[in-house]
Parts: sequence; C-alpha cells; structure tokens
Amino acid sequence: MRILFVDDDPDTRALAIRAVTQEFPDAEVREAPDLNGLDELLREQAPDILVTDYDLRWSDGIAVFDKVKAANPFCCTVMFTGTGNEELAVRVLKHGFDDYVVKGAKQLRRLAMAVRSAFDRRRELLELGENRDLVLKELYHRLHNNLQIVISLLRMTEKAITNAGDREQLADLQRRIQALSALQEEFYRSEDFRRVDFAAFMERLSGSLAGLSGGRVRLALRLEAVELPVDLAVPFGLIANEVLTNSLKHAFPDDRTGQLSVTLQATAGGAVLTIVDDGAGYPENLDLSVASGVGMRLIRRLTDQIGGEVSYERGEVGALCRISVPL
Amino acid sequence: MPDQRSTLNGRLRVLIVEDEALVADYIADVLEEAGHEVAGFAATGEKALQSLERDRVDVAILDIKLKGGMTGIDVAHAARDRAIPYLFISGSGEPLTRLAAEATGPLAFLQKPFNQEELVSVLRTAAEREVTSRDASASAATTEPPRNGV
Repeated sequence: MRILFVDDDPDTRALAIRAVTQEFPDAEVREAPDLNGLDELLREQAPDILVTDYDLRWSDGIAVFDKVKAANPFCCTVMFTGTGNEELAVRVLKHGFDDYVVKGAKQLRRLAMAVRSAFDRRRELLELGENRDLVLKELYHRLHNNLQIVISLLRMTEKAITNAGDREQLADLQRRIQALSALQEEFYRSEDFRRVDFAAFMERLSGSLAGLSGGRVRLALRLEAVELPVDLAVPFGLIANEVLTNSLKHAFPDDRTGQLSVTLQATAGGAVLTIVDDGAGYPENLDLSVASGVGMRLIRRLTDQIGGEVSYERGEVGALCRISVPL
Repeated sequence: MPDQRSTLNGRLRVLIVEDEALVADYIADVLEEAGHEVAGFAATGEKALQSLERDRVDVAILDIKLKGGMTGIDVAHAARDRAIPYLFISGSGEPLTRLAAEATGPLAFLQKPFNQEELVSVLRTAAEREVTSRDASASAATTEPPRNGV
C-alpha cells in the first residue's frame, strides 16, 4: 500500500508520516515536494491514500486531489490543513475528500484515525462492488441457461404437435426468444448496461439465422458501428429478426441458392437497416402493409413503438426491406 | 492408432455433456433429427471421461459449467488427447472463460441459448472435416485400418 503526503513544510510532513505509519506500519511512503514531483510520482504508481495540505506554494489541496483521483479513482483522501475554517471544510468534503482534519499537535492521532476509517470504508465499498459483479455474473449465467431451457421446452412442445403450421409458429417463437437473448448478451457486454452494439448483434443474428437455409444462402454483411439505447435496440432487433427470418424462409424455395445482403448504416438522425435478397420476391397478391401474420404484425407494432419507418420494394429479382429508426 | 470412428455419410456419434436434463434432451433431439446419433449423455466431467474412454464418440458437445469438480474445459483436454473434436455450449458471458475455452481449439463456441440451426451447422462442418480427413488417410494407406468395436 502506498501513502502520498503533500505538504510544503517538511516538519509537519514528518509528523504526519510518523502518525499515519503507526497505523499502517507496512505502507510505502511517498512525498511530493512540488508539481513536477507529484506528476512524476503519479506516473510511476498512483497512491492508495493521499494526505494533503490545502495551501501549497505551487498549488492547492483540491487540485492535488483531482490529479491523484485521475490516477486512482479509489484512492482515499484526507485533507490535513492549518488554514481551516468551516467554509473550506464544507468545500473540501463536497469536492469528495473522505475527511478533513485541522492541524495541531494533538490532532496527529485524529489524523491517523481519519485515514484508517477512510481506508476501511473504501475497502468495504470495493468488496461490495466485487460482490455485485459476482451476483451479476451469476444472474447472467442463470438467465441464459433458463432461456435455453425455455427453448428446449418449446421444442418438446413443438414435437408433440402434429399440425405443421402450428409447429412452424412454435419454431418462430424459439427464434424470437433467441434474438431477444442475443440482444441481452450485447447489453451485458456494454460497460454501462445502457447501450447495445447493434452491429455486433446483427452479425450474430444474421449468422445464426443463416443456418435456416442449410448453407444455401450466402450472407453479405455491411455493418457500420451503431450503438443504440436498450429501449430502442430491443424492438429494432426483434424487427430485424422477423425480416431476416421471412427472407430466409420464403425467398429461396425448392432448395434455391442465393444471397442475402444486410446493411446497417448510421445516419444523422438515427440508423437504417436494409435487408435485400435475390430470391423469389414478395408474392404478387400480398399487401405487406396489412399482412396479418404474427411476424408482419410484430414488425408493424414495433416500428410504431420506436417511431420508425418500414418500407418494402419489389425488385426485378428478389425483395428489399428497409427499416429506419430515429435516435 | 486404430480408427474407432463411426462416421459414415456424415453421420456422427455425439457425446452430450450437459447437466441440465431438458437441454441435453433438446440437443439429442436436434442432432438426431439432423441424422446424427447420441453416443451418450454425461452430467459431470467424470462421467464424460468414462464415456470418452468407453464409447465410440465422433464429436463431444460440452457445457462448461458442470455438476461436480470438473468443467467442460477439463473434458475438452481429455477429448483433445484422444483426437476427438468438440464444441462448447455455455451460458456464461465471462470473456475469460470463453478465452480459456477457445484456447483449447474447439470446433465452435455456442453461446446459450443457441438455436438448432447453429448446432446443426457446426455438426455439418465437423462431419465434412471428418469425411475429408478419413478419405485422406484412406488414400494414404493401401488398406484401411481395422475398425474396433464395430
């Protein structure tokens, strides 16, 4: 453990060091005499504990705090100052110092105690953080296992059903749960649990659904980096799942081979996903804007929910679906 | 080493190492529908090792977190020693676990929940490789080595 002492007066520094190292006998002591010295120390290795005066010839305790915290956000910080008044004490504590001790011969013991209790509090917080990470990992693992069990149960049920249409509906449901779970995974991977790397999700989704064609359909992916907030990524991801599934199921009948292009673009106002196949094209007599299948209904409802737009085009060969979402 | 493999026309005998019974059944169902065969089930690493020792196994499907003291990665090492290809399935999103698993050289790493298409596609690739390598060794030798336990 490293303790950094910052004080222009060498005598006060020596007294403070003696008091605090009685409490932490194994600590490695560092002293910063000026700004260059401080910068150099922080470059070498950040301290675990900072004891600093407020008034320094070359800076002040709050600026020192900022530098040290930038190097180690978990560093404990105690201000030890003779220029104290109530106003400064409030300012220092509001700035984030763990404690504030007014200088004085009888205050040295108090300084040591203040550092000890700040250090213990910090350690407890860190341990709590580690526990939280463990719980989170366990929850994640459980969630994914349970989703796998749900898919297994759906499959068992599917096998028990004889009607081909009903079975297909259950298989589609399995794929929807799968897509949700892939979104969940991207969400877990993001550092702040708020945003989803949508390009990574689309890559995984396309790759996993391409298996539906048994290798007959070649994927062409052009995915720009797009990060979306979770409340947008989930509906958008489910829409993408429906469009891709439709293409793979209907565009290449009778063992046809072909290509499916998936393009994700970041635009000024949001993102656009374009899915194009060179397959059989949409059926002539089908009005896609009112089609009543579960998949088409999902696409309409979820597009409305996120204020997006979906359009379909019949090409000379194949079909195109474009979904745009605002950010 | 005698060829103990049973691959014929892309049909694989698959060992399923998974401690969740419903998931193990799901895997069995999917791979049987794709024309493969279940070589055995194991819910622990210890059982998996016995099965690798005793049964004819072409491919092993390994969950990473298992009941008992061993993990799927431990089983992977044993499978690799016997030149049996394997793939991982895992619910863990831990990057370190995944790195450790992938460092052993699996056919694939499927994140749970995976779907049947993903699994079937990995097995198809495994079967193709198996057939290719068998053809290669068959043409290298004038006579095919004897098959054990068939």
